[in-house]
Amino acid sequence: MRLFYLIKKEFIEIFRQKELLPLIFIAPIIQIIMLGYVVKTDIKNIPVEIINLTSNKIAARIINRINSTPLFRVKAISDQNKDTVELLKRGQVKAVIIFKDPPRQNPLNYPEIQISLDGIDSNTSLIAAGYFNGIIKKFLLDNLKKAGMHQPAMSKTLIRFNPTLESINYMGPGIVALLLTIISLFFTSISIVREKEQQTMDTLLISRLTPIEIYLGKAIPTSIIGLINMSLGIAAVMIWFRVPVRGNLLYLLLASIIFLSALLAYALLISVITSTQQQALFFAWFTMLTFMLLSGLFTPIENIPPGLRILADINPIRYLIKIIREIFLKGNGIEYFYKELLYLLAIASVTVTVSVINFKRLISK
Amino acid sequence: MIETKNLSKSFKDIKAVRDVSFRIPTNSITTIAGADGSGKSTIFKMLMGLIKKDAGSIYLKNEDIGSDFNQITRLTGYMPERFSLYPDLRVEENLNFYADIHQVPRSRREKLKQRLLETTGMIQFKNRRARALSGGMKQKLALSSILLSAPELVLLDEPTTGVDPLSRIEFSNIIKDLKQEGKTIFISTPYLDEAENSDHIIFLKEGKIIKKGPMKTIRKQFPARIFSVLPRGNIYEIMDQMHRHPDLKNSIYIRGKFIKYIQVSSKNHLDLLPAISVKEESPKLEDIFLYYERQSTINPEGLHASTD
Repeated sequence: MRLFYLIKKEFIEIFRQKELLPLIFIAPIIQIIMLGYVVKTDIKNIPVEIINLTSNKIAARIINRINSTPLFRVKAISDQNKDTVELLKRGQVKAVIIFKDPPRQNPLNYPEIQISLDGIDSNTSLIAAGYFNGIIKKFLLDNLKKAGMHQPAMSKTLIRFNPTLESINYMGPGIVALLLTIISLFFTSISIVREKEQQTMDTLLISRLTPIEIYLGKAIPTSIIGLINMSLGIAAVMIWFRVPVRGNLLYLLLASIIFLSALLAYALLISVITSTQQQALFFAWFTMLTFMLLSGLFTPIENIPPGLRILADINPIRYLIKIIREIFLKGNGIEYFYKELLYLLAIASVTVTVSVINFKRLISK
Repeated sequence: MIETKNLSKSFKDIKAVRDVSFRIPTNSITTIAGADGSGKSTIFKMLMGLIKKDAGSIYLKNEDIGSDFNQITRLTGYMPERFSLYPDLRVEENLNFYADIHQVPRSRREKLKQRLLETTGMIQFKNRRARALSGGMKQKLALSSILLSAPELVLLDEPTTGVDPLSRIEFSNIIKDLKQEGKTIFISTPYLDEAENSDHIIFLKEGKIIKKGPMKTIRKQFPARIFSVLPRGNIYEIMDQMHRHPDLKNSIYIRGKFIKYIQVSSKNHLDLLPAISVKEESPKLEDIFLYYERQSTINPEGLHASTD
């Protein structure tokens, strides 16, 4: 019952901060929509310049195809030779495609094509090269078809779970996990430190509340807010971005609750080692950033060097993101991600124990 | 009611409390007075178990509590130095929350809450958020909160610091009423005029007790005479000159437009002070404190702290 009063007090305090309410409930939706667009890895409209030094008809047809695809945005087509390095140096285009007369020994009369890419943004350059090769390949296959010939060998690729390879389907659920992390981690660590700052922690400590009750009294309200936020985030990615949810969301709720107990134990640790809200914010930010970078959201876990992999292994977000993608895209049940749930449980058990011991130590200085 | 023996606490190299022993008798007002940083708040926190003591013992009703502070916290209402309630909660919500976490039965609470709100003049502000209260009102709210659990022992750590003079008088009256109700009050203050109504006094300096005892005894046994001198000339220039004099440097201090002279030995040095008028006064608590404070500087080991 004492715990109930503490939770009630927390909610009153949160809802009394009128300036904070839009930040809690509206900002995350805006954030998820914005992030949804920003973190898309699908690259379109790559700016290119075409230098056509031939009157070859095939070259003209290929240029037409480049012009009509949304993958490239042709900024200029010229028939004069130019310094390609200088063009890339100016930075207005990411690629320069040069068409030259066909070599003499080319019986099919195909033009010589050269593509120069700006390698600073290696990802975009590689994707641009891939797109361009795809266009050429498609052009050749169409020509073969017209001539009544077939491709000598063919492989058929079937892409499951995300057949359109939309990056939002992959990133969206991950961002939802991120949202739950940000709100819960920041809110809990700050709210405990605020009690220290305004000396109300002493009031709580000399009351009949136990340290566990104080921790739960802080963690439960922020968890509820975090879960509401996550639900809003899920609704946003489902409705706005049409990301499919193929699995059972109750599994996600279960995973999120276990995840939150681990994450909030980290928040408690932050509140133990800091004494002002400013410090807590800084620590929470640093923790969140580390967790985010080692979560597999932006880069595959396999790419993380072995030394840092240990940090990734104790990172609860990593497991939640894995579970959330399994549920959203693969529609998997618990039998497919029980290992991740067990990892989360193990992390939660250790972090909660360490945090509560430290919290008790703090209050008996 | 409560007693400490050789209580000590250090924070790294700083000895905050040194061998402090005192007794707070039941149904009395005991004041601990000392400058800022003299260790008052540390003593309060040690009594409540909020800070772990390095050495010494705490006795409650003649029993050593060891490290079990539950008995003390159950019997005690503790008001920390700074306002320690929730600024975003309304006055009544703060009172209810405090009562809830101390498990005060609702049947008992409502009547008491009403009475406390009336006594402290807070009734018309009960729906106001705590952050919108004045300094004095905040302290009254904090006091009302701790009184809701009907504690036998009331610990008030500098309750009137930063409070306006009118609220300080009101506070003083509330404390007297609490004693009338049979409560034991232990209060700390840097304002010695507030301690005049106490039954017992403890003077603290740099974590050490320099004098303690019943107020009457302390006054009765005060060994010096106090003179109030209206100086002829600039008071600061005179003080500057007199501070160079070995017989005067530890015996004079400024109080308003007067120089106060504490005559410690049988020899009177008043003739050294250029004066328009000189008047002997009965010693105030402030004079008594200053006397012992100076004596502790001159002869740190020579003081006999207790008059018990």
